[in-house]
Amino acid sequence: MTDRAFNVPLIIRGRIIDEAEVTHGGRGGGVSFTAPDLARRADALGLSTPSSMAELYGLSFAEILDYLEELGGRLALDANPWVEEAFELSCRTSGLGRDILAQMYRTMGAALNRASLREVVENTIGVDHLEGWVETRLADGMITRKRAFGARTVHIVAGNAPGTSVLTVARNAVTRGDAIIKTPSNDPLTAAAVARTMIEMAPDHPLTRHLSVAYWKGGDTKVEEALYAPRNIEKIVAWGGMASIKHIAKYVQPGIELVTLDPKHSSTIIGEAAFADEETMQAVAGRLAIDAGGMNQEACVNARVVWVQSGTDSAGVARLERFGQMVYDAIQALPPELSGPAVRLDSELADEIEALRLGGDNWYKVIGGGVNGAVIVSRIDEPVDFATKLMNRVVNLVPIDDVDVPVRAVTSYTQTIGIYPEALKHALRDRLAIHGAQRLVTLGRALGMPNHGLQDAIEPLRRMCRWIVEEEVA
Amino acid sequence: MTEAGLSRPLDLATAAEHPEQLVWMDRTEGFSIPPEQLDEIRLHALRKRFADLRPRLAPLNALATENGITEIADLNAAAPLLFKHSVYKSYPVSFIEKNRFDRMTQWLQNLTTADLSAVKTEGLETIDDWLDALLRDANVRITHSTGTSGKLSFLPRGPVDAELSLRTMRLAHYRDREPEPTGLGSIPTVVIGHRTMFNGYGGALEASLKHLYDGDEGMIIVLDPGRLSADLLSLGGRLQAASAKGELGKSQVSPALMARLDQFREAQKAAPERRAKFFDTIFERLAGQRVMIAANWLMLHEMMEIGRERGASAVFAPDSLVLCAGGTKGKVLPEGFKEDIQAFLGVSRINEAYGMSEITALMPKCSAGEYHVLPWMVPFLLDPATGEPFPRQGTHTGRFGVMDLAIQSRWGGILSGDEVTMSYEPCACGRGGPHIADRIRRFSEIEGGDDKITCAGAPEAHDTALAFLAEME
Repeated sequence: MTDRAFNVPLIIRGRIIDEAEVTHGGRGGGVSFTAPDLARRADALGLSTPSSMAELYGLSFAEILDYLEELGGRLALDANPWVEEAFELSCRTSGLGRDILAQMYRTMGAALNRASLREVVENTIGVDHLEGWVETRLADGMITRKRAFGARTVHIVAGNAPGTSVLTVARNAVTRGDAIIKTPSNDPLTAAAVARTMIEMAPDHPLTRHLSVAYWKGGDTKVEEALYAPRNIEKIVAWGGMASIKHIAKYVQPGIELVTLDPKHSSTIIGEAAFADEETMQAVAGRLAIDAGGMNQEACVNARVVWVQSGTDSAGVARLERFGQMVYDAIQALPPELSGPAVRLDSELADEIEALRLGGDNWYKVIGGGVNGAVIVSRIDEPVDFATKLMNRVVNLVPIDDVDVPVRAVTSYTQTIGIYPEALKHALRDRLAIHGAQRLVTLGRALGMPNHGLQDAIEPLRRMCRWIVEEEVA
Repeated sequence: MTEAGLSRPLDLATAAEHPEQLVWMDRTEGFSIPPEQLDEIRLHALRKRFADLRPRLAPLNALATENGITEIADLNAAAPLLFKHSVYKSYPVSFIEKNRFDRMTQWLQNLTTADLSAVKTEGLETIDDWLDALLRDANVRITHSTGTSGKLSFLPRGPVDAELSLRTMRLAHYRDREPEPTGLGSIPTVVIGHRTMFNGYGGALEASLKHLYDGDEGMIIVLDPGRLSADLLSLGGRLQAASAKGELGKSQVSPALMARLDQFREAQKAAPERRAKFFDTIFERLAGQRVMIAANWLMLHEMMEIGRERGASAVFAPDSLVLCAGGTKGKVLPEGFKEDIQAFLGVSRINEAYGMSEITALMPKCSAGEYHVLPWMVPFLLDPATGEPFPRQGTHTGRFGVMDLAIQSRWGGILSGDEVTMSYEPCACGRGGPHIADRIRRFSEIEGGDDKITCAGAPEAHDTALAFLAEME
């Protein structure tokens, strides 16, 4: 394939710098792209004059939603050349297939839906707290007035789905922040495409002029030491990436707050009710297939280890193997815009699976394999030793007698747990939360992103604000 | 009495049927077998090994069946039959925590034709105990990996052939264009490590003791008279696996492992004194003597730094036999370190070699700086993108695999994780190919370190384990 050249622009508060000065990427057969040399311009990226943020307070919440709604309408894959370019580059860098990406880029504007944004903000910050000073009288008679202000924030966004860039733009706008988005090498262009669309739409609008987008290689000290200083920023919001969060942590100091949406894993608990009859089994397998195979298992919310109360005796394991085949078939039958064969097969994982297969059926049964994904059925009551490396639509079904086992296997790195049936979810929720779980969902709904605004046991929108109080002694 | 482990005359006509005998050939003669003739021997021997082992090793049979291979048409046709390293660590780690060494033995039996039925596993509580039981009851010696962060792999070798081990050790000490070195029985071996090791070198050391030194332990000078414990090396991987399972994992870590760690901690207290004694011996008692050393550059560099502090220089006799393999383990040593180390040791030459614990012998580096594939090994180079073997001519860079035809009780084909540049053109040293350039990298190093950020993941390293291992250094 003769490949097209991609340049990732640097966007600083409405200004586009499009020089192709340095080349990034290209390691290990990866895609390379050019970008302006940020090290020379790192000083301009930080906002050292917070006074300019005052212009954001001339906007009402409704006007902000007007702006975002119009922007959402312009982020259409088939009508926006920058979105098209970002999509094309993502097809080369992402772990998601072209069909899935096309669906995501086609619908990316939906994240800016007016009603949905209002609901999220109402459920987290409260629109009144963004619009003005909300008064409370304390028991001692003091009158306090609180307001949520925006912050000067670097957002290190994840690249496994383009939606994270759009969501970050929306969150910054509604909180009236000044955002600098650091894009990842697996999606260097989406945030820039959104920013360019904003510049075209409303070049001098305050929301356009409080968004910057840059790519630099994570860990580049020339850029990061200049940028990550309390004179430039107040917060860092970091999505995922163990290495990325570890090296950001060293810049945290008095005056800079780190909001981490840590790298996570998700799991599933299926109670014995799933085996009530053939029809139920099929339905449960279908729902699990969505949680496991949707978005090609590239997200933190995807199911990987699945604890199933099938029983651990030979009859239980046989039941589980039959269920495993149903799950495998259901994953294969997922629609192409939701899930497809692995784009890049992880060779380490493939080697582990091959070794299990060659080792015979004593302790594990492997259904499927290769780019289509696999279901590994444990014949012992243990997940595979490489459970944290499961990807490429590979799930591990583990038989249990007692649901106490998966509860105790939860750690603070466990994000979403899909549970069947509902009654089991209610019965386990307190204990799962105490062990570290952060989101408990109906099986089949792990990929949803409802408007409650919670993630990783925090409220990121509230955390993005600076909560200011005015006190008045009565 | 003739010296143990020396080369023997070999009729090449029998080599195709008994490729393990090629190990006994004089190295210089072995390297001068014409490539076409050697490839004929290799192909015949490979077919024989495959026919012999396929019915006896289930994983080989499964792999052959999956790939639809019933016979091996040419050397490259065997490439799909190379085992991945993961095959030797596909056991569930929970067997160890639950003291199910009977199941570990059952798992291992899949990988070797040696009969493990006599191995008694009752009451075993540690990996070290299990390795001892395999050796004692079945004469099978395990070579395990030594990485501290992951799961250990276990390669069975046996019934133990101590003479073969000694022979391959001697081969590594050959010097180019010189006759085989002799008189090894009277020169001590210096071990910058443990006396007991279940790694590639450990077996050779036991063989030296038995056949070269007639059981005289005084000929082996060790830094640590204890054991390089598989339990200790696996600590990181085991705690990591446990921590990924939350409270469930915590309750599964073997109490025997924790007890063993306390023992190691206790033994570690005497380490400084032991170290001092070891270096006293080397720099004083062995000064000017002819010795044998097998080490890596990092170990030798550390020895030089300690020696220099003590004012030592040109320590050993110039005809000492020093072998270096295994690179610098990711550390960057000062420029010219090889020359500095050689001058410090006072030896006229340091042999270098490339290999892995899965094969019987190391591939020696020639005067032109290239590693040469030994006659009883079939090298493979796979295109990392497609997994297809490159043609057996010209020069290519890819993932290195090798079939060691001297191995009889286990499938000798293994695919490494190394990126290697290999050439079939004649080498500048005057020998034919294939030869391997001295720029070998791990694929994991090449692929790592990119700047992708995803929300999915979990911690790979367990801090407690790493802190503990650092403390043991």
